[in-house]
Amino acid sequence: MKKFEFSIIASGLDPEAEDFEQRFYDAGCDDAAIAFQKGHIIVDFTREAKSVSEAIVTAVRNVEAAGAHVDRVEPDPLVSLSDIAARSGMTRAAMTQYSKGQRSKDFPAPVARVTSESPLWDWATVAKWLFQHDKLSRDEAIEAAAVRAVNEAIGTRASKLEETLKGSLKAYEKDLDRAA
Amino acid sequence: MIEAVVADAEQKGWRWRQMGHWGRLFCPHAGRDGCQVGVNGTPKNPEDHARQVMRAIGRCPHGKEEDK
Repeated sequence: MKKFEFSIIASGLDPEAEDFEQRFYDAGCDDAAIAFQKGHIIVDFTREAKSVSEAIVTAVRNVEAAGAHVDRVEPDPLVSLSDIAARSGMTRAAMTQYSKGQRSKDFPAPVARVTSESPLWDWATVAKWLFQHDKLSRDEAIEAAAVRAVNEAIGTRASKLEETLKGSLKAYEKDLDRAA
Repeated sequence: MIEAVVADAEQKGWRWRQMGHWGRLFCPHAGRDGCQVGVNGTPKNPEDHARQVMRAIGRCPHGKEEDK
């Protein structure tokens, strides 16, 4: 068993209600803190589970059982160079060099805000690259892929969350180990 | 442990409201868009819960605005 930390962003329940936190607790979120910030319900989990998929899938179910709507799972799958530095323990300066191809040629390209001065990268893609260059653990890369897969499944309203997640992770892990 | 986190938040201007089993912390920014953080009186894992609450307090953007 391992502990996984992640947050579920949710909506649909009144944070001013007397039983706001208790509803989540009773629905199985007894390993989470319940906050209301920036207009969103934020459920911060520290969940013990066999795998990251199990941790996230059960947490999503618990939040739904409390009567809330799951909007997405964070850590945010889209990251800035500063986020990448923070998550990998590297310096911001080093990340800038990587992104400009000064340290290594094959750093992934950003996927969003590409025309702006602060583009965003897909964390699961970057995590794979970091793992393959010995800058990130395999488990951390798999967690990145799990969060991305769950968010995609929520977006498309996939009912079989667990299967979708399993499928994506299997493909991701295969990819990880092929190039490692 | 969790008491220390709550005391620290109060020092930073957060308000504490006891609600039976739970307590709620409200950030210094009064009004509807202020932050609210629920604190469990008897959490399953006190260390984890203290860290979660601390992180949520750290996410509050309102204290930072006042610092400027």
